[in-house]
Amino acid sequence: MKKDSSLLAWGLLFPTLLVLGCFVIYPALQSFVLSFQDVEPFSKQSFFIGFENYMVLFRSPDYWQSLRVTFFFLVMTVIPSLLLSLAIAITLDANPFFQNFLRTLFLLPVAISSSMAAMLWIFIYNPTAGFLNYILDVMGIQGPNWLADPDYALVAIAVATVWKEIGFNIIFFLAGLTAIPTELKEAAELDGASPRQRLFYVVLPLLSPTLFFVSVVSVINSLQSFGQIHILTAGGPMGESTTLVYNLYRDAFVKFRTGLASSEAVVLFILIMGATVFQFRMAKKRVHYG
Amino acid sequence: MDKLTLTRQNKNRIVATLILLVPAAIQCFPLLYLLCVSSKKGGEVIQYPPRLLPEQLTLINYQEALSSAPLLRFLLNSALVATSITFLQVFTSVLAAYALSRLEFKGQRWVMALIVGTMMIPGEVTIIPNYFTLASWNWLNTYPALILPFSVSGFGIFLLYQFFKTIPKELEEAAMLEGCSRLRFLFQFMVPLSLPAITAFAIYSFVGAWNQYLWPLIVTQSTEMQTAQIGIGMFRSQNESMSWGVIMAATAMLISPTVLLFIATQKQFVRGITMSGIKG
Amino acid sequence: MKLLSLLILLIALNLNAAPVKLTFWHSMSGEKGKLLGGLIKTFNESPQNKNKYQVVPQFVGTYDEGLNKIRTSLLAAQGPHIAQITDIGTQVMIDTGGIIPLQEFIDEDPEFPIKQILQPIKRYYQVNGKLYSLPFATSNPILYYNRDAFEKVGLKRPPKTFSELKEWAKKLTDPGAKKYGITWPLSSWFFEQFIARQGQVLLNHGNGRGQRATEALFLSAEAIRFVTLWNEMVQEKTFSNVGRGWDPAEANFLAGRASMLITSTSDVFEIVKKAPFQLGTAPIPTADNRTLGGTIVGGNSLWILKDKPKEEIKGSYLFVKFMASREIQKRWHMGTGYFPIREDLIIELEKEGFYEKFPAAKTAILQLKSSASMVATEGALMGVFAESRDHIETAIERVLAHRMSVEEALARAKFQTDDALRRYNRFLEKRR
Repeated sequence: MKKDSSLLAWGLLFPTLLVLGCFVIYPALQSFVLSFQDVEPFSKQSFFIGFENYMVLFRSPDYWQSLRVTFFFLVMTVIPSLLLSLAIAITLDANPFFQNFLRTLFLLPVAISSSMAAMLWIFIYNPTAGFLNYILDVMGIQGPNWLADPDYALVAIAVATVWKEIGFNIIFFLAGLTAIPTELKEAAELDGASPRQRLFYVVLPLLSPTLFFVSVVSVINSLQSFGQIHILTAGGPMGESTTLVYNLYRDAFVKFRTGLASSEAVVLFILIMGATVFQFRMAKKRVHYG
Repeated sequence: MDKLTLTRQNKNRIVATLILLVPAAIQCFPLLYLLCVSSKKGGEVIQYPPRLLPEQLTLINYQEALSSAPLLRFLLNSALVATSITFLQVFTSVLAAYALSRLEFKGQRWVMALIVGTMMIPGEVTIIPNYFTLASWNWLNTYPALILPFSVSGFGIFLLYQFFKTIPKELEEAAMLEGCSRLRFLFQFMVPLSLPAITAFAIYSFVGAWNQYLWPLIVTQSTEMQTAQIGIGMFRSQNESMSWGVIMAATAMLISPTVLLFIATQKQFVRGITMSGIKG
Repeated sequence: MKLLSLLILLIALNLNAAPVKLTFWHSMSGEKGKLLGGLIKTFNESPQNKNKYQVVPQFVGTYDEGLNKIRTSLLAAQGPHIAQITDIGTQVMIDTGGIIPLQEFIDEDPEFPIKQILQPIKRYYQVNGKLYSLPFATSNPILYYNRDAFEKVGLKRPPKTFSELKEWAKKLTDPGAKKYGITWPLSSWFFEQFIARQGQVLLNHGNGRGQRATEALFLSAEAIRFVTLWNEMVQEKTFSNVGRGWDPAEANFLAGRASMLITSTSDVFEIVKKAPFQLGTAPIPTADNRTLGGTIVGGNSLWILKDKPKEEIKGSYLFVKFMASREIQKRWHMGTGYFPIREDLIIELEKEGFYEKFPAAKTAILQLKSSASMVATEGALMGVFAESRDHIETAIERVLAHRMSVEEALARAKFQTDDALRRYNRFLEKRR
């Protein structure tokens, strides 16, 4: 019986492992090797240089800046989008009128790619002819120069990102919420639990697998954001919106520094893995599987 | 008594509706803006102060967009590619997630770690090595080149793994006692029970595939193979002003399939959710 | 008998031979992409090419993306026949080793209109006396101004010097009405142009044209003077800084939010068409001491790639030559605003009275022709241009945001560019 299930398991995993092996793991290993090499931009020649790429990275103030930017971006996107989408999903789950219609409205931005969405936001953020500053102006506020001001550029990108992301999270939270048996909520209500008590002692614990899942995915997505940065600021001003991934893209695709970009990929991988392992550890204590 | 609870429920519903109105309006404003800009005449777009509604509705931008690029072909390519990717990802994820969540075998934890680990590899890194792999197989500029590298999703496996774990084991044991094979159980019980998660993932997967840009840009070598996202690039100018009306019209046309898909899958989504109610 | 049948087969094959397909990668989007498609169609449908060559265009994304795609595809021996590449990709294209210099074809083809190509345009794409690619879309920056706004504040003519520019901008600014004096995109292109306008080079070794450049000269008096001017206008709030995008600057000008705009001529007809006010154009201003100098041509050029069958390479050349023809250049110029690259075409259009109708288009040509013939205006040549632009733009942003002094910021950009040059050159030495 056991041997049988092990055979079946490998059979079921075979297509997955084959594709991952060819198109994800193999290139990833390759870039691991390349991270110790200097790669000629116009031939496949490369030279082993030990840890030099890593040394270049860690000595570069720009790289440290992009680490900092990535961290801020992570905080500015993940936390608001988790809180907002959770709140909206819970409210949607409370069976409002026009539930379907409202839900659709929230999901719509998900249908747009991050670069297309960014095009829209460029237009909205234009400091002198854009809609946002026009509205602020009418309200008597002098709107900042959103995308060109080092203090606001990252915030502006984060807003556009959250706008696009929350729809996704709402889908998953809704799926999780509706999976909570109504009898449980009703039972709690009959027992005289206040709405807040019901939220914290019934809904959230039962939602914890979804919450965990959504937060892991949000962190990974945020760390890998690319399209919106590329279009809105191209990493500027002053590198204040250059995240690790954007830096990697510039090094690999514009500066043709394959070796350096590979070492950045390795560092990024380690960081994402660290964040995920941390989340899994937290989850072990808090997540409650039904 | 009955009446009282009813009104209270209604009150809750009204409050919930009101709370949601503001964020919903904010969420759909940029899209509304898109539609408005796409139906404005050239000069009107850049007016200051900006106005939301066009003075005069026009479809000229849509005509212009359609005549500037083979949008229909791009849409067909994107539809084919995104549908195939979604289908393959759902299929491989269901199989793998089942194996990982329900079967016992040596190295299970390692495989799971490996799969979750692949989610963390930034996509930009794999593009160039994969290009060389496909070039050496002579696969550049083909549909498989656009589809195959994305036929597995670590995210999907992870999601379904999480979901499968919430389905009580007793159900499976009972079914197996009645002589149901594992695979039959998977497709007859697990999959229907996980429909909300699978639908959510399918949407995620489709949108992700639909929105790819860098990979199709590098791997295609003829206009006939290019996809919708590259189509948008064809309207976005560099180093000069853009015809916003036309860009927005093209964007509107290129996002309409995903938007419609969303509206259409709403029903499926809701049905999936009610089905999962069995569980409790 | 066998021989005969073989011969018949060969003839039959030849008669039925489908035209050779030539792939052409380009980065033209929007209206320009559409127009380019039309030009290619003309080539494909012309009687002499119809059965022999068919050029198949493919859009490959932005200039950066296109250059990267070329580089990657050459490594896998999957390159196109012809490629349109940004001006600053010139050195990179040469270093890929995957191209054939256009000069080699021109030397063997007396019919190529080499003499007609405007000298300043030719000079940019000539390296060590060889013309490497066909300048196709060329432009330079000019000053656009809102005549109505000028009249309102009593300004009679456009500014000619940096001091005048600053003064004019101040006069045109109206904080109450949220109107700025001037704007241009935050792009290194303007830095490069204004340095050349003052007659200074950007790189050592003759702008990287004598030998490979090893040092960036970003700390020249000319560079500092220009960035200082830019910064002063921003601090005085007479310059509307809209960031790196090119579109917002133009949008602000057209919406009347900035009364002067410096941007590429490649958009001149669009601006003429859209401006809801009386439009004026002028050459870009220079330093007060008016040293000799001029603008650099920017844009893109057409490259012929090697490692293809001889017949196909011949087709590539015929296509490139076709794109240099008077008819094509005329349609391209009139449809976009890019310069006509041919002397005889300018004369023709002059005769037809085209420039009386569009004086704005003439400004750019005059500016081009009056540019001093010197290394500074030939433009810089380096393999790490895209990267260097990043450093310069960051430096300017640091200055405008008060994070660094002009000298400090430019010194950092210079240091980073020098480092990139050193790295790049090291590779090419290793190769030898």
